[in-house]
Order: sequence, then structure tokens, then C-alpha cells
Amino acid sequence: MEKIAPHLVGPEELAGRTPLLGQPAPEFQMKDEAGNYVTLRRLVRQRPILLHLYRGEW
Amino acid sequence: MRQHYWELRGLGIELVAAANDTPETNRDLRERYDLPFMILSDENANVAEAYGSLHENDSTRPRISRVSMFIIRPADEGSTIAWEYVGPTSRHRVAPSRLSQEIQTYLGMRHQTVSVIVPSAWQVERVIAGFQDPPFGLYRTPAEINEPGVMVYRDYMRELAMQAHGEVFRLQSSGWTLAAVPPEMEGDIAVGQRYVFTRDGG
Repeated sequence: MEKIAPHLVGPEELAGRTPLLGQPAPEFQMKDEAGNYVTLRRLVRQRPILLHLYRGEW
Repeated sequence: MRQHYWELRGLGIELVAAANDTPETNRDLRERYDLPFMILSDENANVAEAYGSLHENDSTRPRISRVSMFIIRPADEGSTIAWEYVGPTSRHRVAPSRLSQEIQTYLGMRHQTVSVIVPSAWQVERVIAGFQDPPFGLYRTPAEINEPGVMVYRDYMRELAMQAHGEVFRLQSSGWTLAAVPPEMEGDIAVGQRYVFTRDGG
């Protein structure tokens, strides 16, 4: 995957993570299950989203 | 997240899940668990990194995300982050009732309602029994099972049930009013108890 999101925090800052509240959400593109790229810009075109990041394999 | 999906849909918010897995794994997982939403592939955790939710990890292992959630406003409101939760590890989840509460606050609802579903003991055991193939359900290697701090799925299910009890007590003792306690149905079968709390928001 092409890395298009900016680097915002280093590992040493993770414990006291900088909140993103109120900031523009970092743009991303990720593959869906069919392998097609989905961008944040497209996801929020018409409605708010709840983005849930997790490790996977739950 | 399944129980949130329909609630979110009803409130006009799209649930977008992103896991540190390949598209193929995500599809298998969604089909296996019969999840109603799509899972995107944040394979190298680049998105997790951009959102400051990278799990602290030694560099020899694949990068993984902590459990985190972000409500992102629509494009015409600047695509800004309206609420965020970043768990301390890859295994800490946000309590469902707290998520409902945050969403309703974001939507500016004056009258807030949250539900906590406490699964019945036999339901917990039934779910655990259903996850014995592969052994322990979740972890691929024995090393992973024995890794310090990693909970096997059985313990995890029991912990979820205990957390649900804890949530009921937390809400009762922090200004929420218990409005109804209907049985939670899965088809014709009662699988637990739903506790519905209400509160007038400011």
C-alpha cells in the first residue's frame, strides 16, 4: 500500500499520544475485501463515519 | 461491533472497520463471523500510525494497531475528528455504552439513551464452545497463547460478560436512570438481558 498519510507521532511519544480531536482526519487509502482502494475522502463525502482501527483476527 | 452497526446506521453514521490483515483474511473473517459491515485492510498499520494508534511493539514483529475509534465529520464539515478513543493496547476495547454515549453527544441529542447487553451465562459458554476450532479460536501458534498479557478467547468472553456487569453498575452510579430491562433476543432465543439507561443531556 502506498503510504500517503503523514507521520504524526514517533514511538517515544505514543504513551502520551497527541490528541487529534478537532484536527482534520489524516487522509488514507486502504484496500477493501475485493482489493479495491477506498479513500477517506470518498467515505466522508456524504456522511460522518466511525473509523474503527484494530489488530484484526479477533 | 456488530451490535453497534445497526445503531450507527440508524443514526446516519457509517461504520468503517480497518484491520491489520490482508483483504482475503478480512473477507474470510467477515464471512465466518457473519459481520454486516466491510473491513478495510490496514496491512502495514500505516493508517494506525497516522492516527497515533500504533501498538508499541518490537520491530521484528509485524506492526499492529491499538484498538481505537474515531468519529470523523463529513467532508462539508471539514472531515475533522469529532471524537476519538485510543486504547492502551491492541486488546483494550471501548465499553459499548460509552460509545453510544459519545455518539449521541456528537449528534447533540439532549435525551441520551445507552444500552448494555449482559449475556446470560449459558450464552457465554455456548459462544466459547463455538470457538474451539482452531484450538482457542483466535491464536495461531502456541507461542502466542503463552505470550504474557495475551488472553485466550475463553477468558476474553468471560471478561466481556463481567465488563457488561461493571458497565451496568457504573451507569447506575453516575446519573443514568434505568428505563427498561427487556430480554435480548436472537431470533426466538433469549441470549441475555438488555439494560436501557436514559439521561437528559446538557
